[in-house]
Amino acid sequence: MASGTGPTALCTVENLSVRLAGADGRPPRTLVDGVSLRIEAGDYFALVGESGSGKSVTCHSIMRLLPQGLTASGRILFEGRDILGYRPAEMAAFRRAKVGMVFQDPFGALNPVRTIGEQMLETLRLHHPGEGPEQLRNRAIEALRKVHVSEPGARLGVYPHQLSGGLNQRIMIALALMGAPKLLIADEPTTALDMSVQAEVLDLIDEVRRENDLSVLLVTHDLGIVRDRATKIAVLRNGRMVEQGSKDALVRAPQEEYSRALFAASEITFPERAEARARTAPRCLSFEGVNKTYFIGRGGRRSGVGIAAAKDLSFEVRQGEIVALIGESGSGKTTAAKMAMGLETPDSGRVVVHPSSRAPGRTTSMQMVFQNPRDSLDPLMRVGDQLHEVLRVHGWRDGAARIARIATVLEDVGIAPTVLDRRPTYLSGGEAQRVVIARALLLEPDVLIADEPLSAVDVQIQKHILACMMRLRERLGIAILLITHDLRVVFEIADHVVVMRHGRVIEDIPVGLLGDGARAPYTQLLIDALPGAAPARTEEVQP
Amino acid sequence: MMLLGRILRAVFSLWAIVTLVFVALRATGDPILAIFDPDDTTAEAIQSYREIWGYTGTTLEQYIRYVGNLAAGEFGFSTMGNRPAAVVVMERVWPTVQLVGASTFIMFAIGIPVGTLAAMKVGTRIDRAVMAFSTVGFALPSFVLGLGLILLLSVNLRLLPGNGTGTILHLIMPALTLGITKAAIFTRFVRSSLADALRLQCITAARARGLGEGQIFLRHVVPNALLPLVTITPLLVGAMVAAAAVVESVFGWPGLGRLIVESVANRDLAVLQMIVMMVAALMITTNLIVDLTYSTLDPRTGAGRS
Amino acid sequence: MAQDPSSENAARSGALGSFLRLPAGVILSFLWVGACLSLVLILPLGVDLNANAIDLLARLKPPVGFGGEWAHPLGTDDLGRDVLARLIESLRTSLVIALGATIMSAVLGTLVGITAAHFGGWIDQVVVAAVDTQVSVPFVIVSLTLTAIFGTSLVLFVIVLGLFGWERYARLARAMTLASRGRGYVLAMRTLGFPWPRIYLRHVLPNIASSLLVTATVTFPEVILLETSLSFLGVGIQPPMNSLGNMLGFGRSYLLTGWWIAVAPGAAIFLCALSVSIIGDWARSVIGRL
Repeated sequence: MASGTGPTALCTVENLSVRLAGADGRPPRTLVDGVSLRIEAGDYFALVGESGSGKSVTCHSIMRLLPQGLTASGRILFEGRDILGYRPAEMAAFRRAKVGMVFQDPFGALNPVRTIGEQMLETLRLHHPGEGPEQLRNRAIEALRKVHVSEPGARLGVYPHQLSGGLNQRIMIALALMGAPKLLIADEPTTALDMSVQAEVLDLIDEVRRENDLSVLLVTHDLGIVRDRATKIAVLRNGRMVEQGSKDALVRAPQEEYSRALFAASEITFPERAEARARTAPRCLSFEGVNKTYFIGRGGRRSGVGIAAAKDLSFEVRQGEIVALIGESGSGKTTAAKMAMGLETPDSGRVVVHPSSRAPGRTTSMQMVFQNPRDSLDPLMRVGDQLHEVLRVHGWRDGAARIARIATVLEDVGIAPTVLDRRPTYLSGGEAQRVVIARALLLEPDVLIADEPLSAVDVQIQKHILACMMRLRERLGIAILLITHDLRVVFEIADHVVVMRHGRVIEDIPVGLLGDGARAPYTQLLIDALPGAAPARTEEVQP
Repeated sequence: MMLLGRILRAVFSLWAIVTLVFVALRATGDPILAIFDPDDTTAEAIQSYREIWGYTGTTLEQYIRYVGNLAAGEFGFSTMGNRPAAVVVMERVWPTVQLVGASTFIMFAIGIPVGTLAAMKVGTRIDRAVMAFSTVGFALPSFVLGLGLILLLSVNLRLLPGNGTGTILHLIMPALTLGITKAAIFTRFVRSSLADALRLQCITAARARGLGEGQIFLRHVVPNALLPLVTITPLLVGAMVAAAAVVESVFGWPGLGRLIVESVANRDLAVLQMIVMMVAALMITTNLIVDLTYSTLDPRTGAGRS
Repeated sequence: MAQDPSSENAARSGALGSFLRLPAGVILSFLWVGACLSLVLILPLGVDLNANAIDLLARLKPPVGFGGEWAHPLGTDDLGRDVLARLIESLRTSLVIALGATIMSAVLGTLVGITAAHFGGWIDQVVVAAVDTQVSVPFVIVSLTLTAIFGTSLVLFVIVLGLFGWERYARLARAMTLASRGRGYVLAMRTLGFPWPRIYLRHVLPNIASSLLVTATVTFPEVILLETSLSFLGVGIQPPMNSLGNMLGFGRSYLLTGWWIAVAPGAAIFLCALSVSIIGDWARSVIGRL
């Protein structure tokens, strides 16, 4: 690993520390602690870390865009000069010409009350003073074409909220490239986008890097996207640098335990190809030809303008199975979950709840686990009190019996009884989610419906929760209906997968068949969009 | 479309107020008897007053006549001024407009620069001082400030007249009183909307493109900050009208505010209901205008929807 | 079990210590509010204030420090009545009324808001329309009108004040209840089979209570100001009852000869409103951090 400042170092960060000043009784915190890294010309540098690792703060520091209250110390050398010492005028010139930045939220980073055209022309005027509006407009259209925005002329007159996230992100890339910068910083550019769009935006970054002789600094928590494309990787944790080096060295043989765990957690293994086995377990829940439309706009039902959340939706969940319902936002999967629980009713078709096979004499009972765990717990009551209350509402009068049942459930889920005394705000995301699962299990449901249970937790905790669910299936024999947008989760634990799009079932297959290459085009699109899933590219992306 | 819905809601509010006033007026029993002592006045005189002022017939007939009169601009007869209520009210409108206008000017003159300064320096001592000034101004009742100013500038220093109207000198203290007390809240609003706008990610992104601070402030921060400010305008207008009632009484300013208090003291219901109606109409219209303006300012609502 | 005395002291100084570490303004506000409360609640039980005792021989005496004596620390008014005694009685009237009115409007508004959010449909529409209508007319005008129509009875006055601000609580309670219902723990508890009353009483209400409390601390000073304004104008508390507002109203005629008659209640109104505002701001920042 080269050290020291060589002639090709584009940007060197030396011992950067960023501190948050204390205020109002809150003590000062160090967000970034002595981080050093080195970006050479032509690098695709990936800065990786979980939330709170300081990766975003680091890249904001490079452009000196830190919010009030944060102070940076150390040195940041760009082409040999320390930008931390720049005066405001020099800084503005630096931002205009040397670096461009792309942000995480495509809707937040563009001014909502100005049209795309106004924002582009404003920036173009900076770089081409003296040119008339016609010329600038042509330049804007050209810039949009370069990032593959269709109908560029028309887009100039619209507002950001009228376009999709993917399009807005492309426009942000176009804006960032206007000054012909040497370095493009991308702060989690794809996190807020749907999976199928993520790959497109990342491909675009690759393309502009090639065509413009650009270096890229990409910040992300998702290791999968960097394994293909990066040339160098650095891992941050709690504000400190864990390790950094060339992509090959790091991916094949990470030295530090934390990096190893991080890399391992992002591995994608295709499930074993299995023969399509007949499903023989008794049925718990069936959707039969369910239709549901949501009417939007004033007029409600009468206006006729509707979004189809379910169109002839049919699938089933059998005892002991883990069925994954996968789709992107707007696919109707959350509505399906609500209909399964009885919170919504179908317009036509049936949701059949079969007699329970585990407890004869009643129908299948179901409980739900929600996306945001802390949201689904009363923030003021202690966990233990909340669990007791569930049992009390259902007639468990005997305090000792309640305590015993709670202890059993906690053990099944795998959390220590110490959570009982705490309030939800003081639980970590993973603990909170497990508490919610435990609460759902108190009433011995036959089916657990989990609506995006992993979205609010970090990668490592996700593995724990998935393991917890599998353990529950083994121990208790419950079935799980798992709603998700992430195929990796499906690979991990599902037996059966139902792919949804715009309310329709695209695919309804055992998970083992996913890798056989004979899937429907949309399914294949989702599989291909998986970062890191494609076989290793033989041609490296040359600078 | 939405515009129609808003207008309908505005009309409904106005109608509700008209009806509530009518109900309240009739709820006290016969208003005529409240004014004229039946022992003093003859029955014929009472009956003729009843007819002149429209208090005859069933309640429903009275209501219909009442609404009809209002629509025709006929507001009844002022017992205080012995003239049509409309005349009494209209001659007091201009002084109040003067007062509110001058106070609004002072409110902007203080609130905008001070609030902007605080927003740019959030968390510093300057900001804390501004917030303290705002809290103090908010807690200070207008009549206390007014009397204090009279005590200081009029009684002790003999600089300004403490009462009445006529010259611009007479306007200074009332306008200052009303303007300063409203400036306290206005400053807070300016500060919070600017501070929120400054923290938007699109501002950081604009800075990242190398745009100058001045340009960013004018073309990105201000348009976003205007949105919440526009929504509180009707509240401020209403608060100012209400505060004018007190301030005009303190300074003997012959405007609508003082007229309200006088009509309450004299139980001149005709004048009172006309003022109430006017104020309500003003507020509802302001609300409507603000709603429409907001739709054009923020393309995410109304016209800009895809 | 014998407590270690040093640990008890440590616990006590812990509470006192954290009190003293608050910003100076907040401490002073608490002290002022505490002083007012004790003066208002405790003192009249032991001491007969004789606030209305007329003593024509001691008319218009200035306060101590401006040529007066300690028998009348804040001076006397045009009828020889002790200003300090009248001030304390007025404080009691104004504070009790303000407190009662705040509680009334908070309870009323919250109930209306939760009901609107729970039932939705036309009930919700009616409530929203009512809130809109209420917002359309400044409350001072409303109270003046009602006073003109119904007269200046004390009961009516308190009821009118008790309506001040109900729409703020209603809006807030409605919005927060709607938010809780859509996602989060309310939905979860419904799927767990909890009945609605339990959800509202034991879960929704405690969670929105802190925001409602903050609204109350903002509204309370406004109620004080409203009551004193109306009393000042002569349409609020009537004599022989003493309120800070009507004291100021009467004192107005004596600005030249007896400025202390007006300054004392004026300062008291200001300090009460200010201290409650400061406490409210501080409470809001504490809650925001939780």
